[in-house]
Amino acid sequence: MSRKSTIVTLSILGLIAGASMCVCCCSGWFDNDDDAKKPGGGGGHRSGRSRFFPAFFGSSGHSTGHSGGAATGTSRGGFGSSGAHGGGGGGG
Amino acid sequence: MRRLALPPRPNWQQKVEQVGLTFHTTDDGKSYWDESACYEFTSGEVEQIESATLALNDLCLQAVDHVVRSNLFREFGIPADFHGYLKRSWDEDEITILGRFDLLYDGVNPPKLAEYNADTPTALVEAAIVQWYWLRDVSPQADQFNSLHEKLIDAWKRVKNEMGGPISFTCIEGHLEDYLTTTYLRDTAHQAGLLTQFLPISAVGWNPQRQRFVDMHERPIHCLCKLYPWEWLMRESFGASIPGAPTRWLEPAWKSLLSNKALLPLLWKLFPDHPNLLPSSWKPLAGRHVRKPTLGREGANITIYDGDSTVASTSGGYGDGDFVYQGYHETPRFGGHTAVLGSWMVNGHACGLGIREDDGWITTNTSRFVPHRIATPDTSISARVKP
Repeated sequence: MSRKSTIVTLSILGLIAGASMCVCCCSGWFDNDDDAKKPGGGGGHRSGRSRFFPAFFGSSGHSTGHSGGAATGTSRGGFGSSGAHGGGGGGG
Repeated sequence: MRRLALPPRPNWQQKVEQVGLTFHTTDDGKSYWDESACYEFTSGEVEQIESATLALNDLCLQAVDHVVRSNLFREFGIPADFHGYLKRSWDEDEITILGRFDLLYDGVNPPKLAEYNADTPTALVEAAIVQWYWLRDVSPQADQFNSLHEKLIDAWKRVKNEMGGPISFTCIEGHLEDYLTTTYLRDTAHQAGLLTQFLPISAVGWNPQRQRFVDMHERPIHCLCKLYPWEWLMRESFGASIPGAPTRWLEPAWKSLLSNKALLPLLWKLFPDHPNLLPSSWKPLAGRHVRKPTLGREGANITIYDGDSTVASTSGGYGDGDFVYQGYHETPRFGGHTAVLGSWMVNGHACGLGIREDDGWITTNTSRFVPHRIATPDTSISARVKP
């Protein structure tokens, strides 16, 4: 009996790894009919680039410029302060 | 269990980047992903690791039930506002996706639990994907204790059936490892047929009129899969709104009891002399022992004592809280390197293994990830490295 996955196929992570792009907070729901499921996130991802925002990593401002705020009564920023103070990530 | 030296694949950096591991080298130029060696296990050794993982998982579930029934939340530093919420989370059997037991194992004696990363485990991309592709390139006929990818997709199918979607994913903004780990989880949920999105934890909104957590487009967050510890969520300004909001969280709140090292003395109290446990206490132990912060992570603020003398220690940002003490167990050394096994539970299955290696006493966030395989009679890695 094999103990390893039969096949490992990436979709969203493959997009990011293959094209250095961010499927970030701006992208909305990710479609499930995406045709970019290729082993290892291989070719074809760049053709889908317009579907995603080419923002990326380390940039600030993902959480700004969105709808909300005073008009909706929604407040933001109530989570996230612990990581900033601790200086590291939330994983372990 | 043995450590084999072998030549890295040509252009290995590019190969691991293509499958999501862009943080393969540390800031000071050392390899975090290290394929200049691998660990090889026999099938019997893998069965021993699997059995220990399942046994520990069972002990942990019993421990959670004991905490809930005995109202021991204060021992775990759980804020009073969350006691009822954790109890409800446990009583309603809220779905858990994954966790990683860190085990000390020498290939002979029963694996010993060092700690359980039950809430926000990382090194997942490495274990599930990168070492799988490494094996495919280097020794395709060999086996590996790694069906993580398939089990994760199965877990999300269960979520889809029991909870429905969509699922939002979150972590700290600007932390690459956390972002890629979160994205990989999102990827497997997507492959299970769920609608998904990512938003940074700081972008999660709270609408007091609707009593809902909302995304950037004011849509209610139905389920939030987070790589952000419960102990941080509970103490931040939105934390007070969690118990009354309908948002479901992954990992669920009851897992916060297992990611807390207050678990270790409780396990030892409930199951003394269990072969997979080390003596643990709230007080210093006789002889050589290890002091760990209850809410530390990635090897920070660990001190190894020999009586009153300090043998080794690490710094970090978790030194202000409570500490537990665990009996010292000689970390197995292979070729002068220490190795700690990360044994994964996904959706109730022990189904994956990742190995972290270090030259020092304590495994930290820069300890190398070394791939593994299961020995077969005719495996010969060095002869099968692809150009």
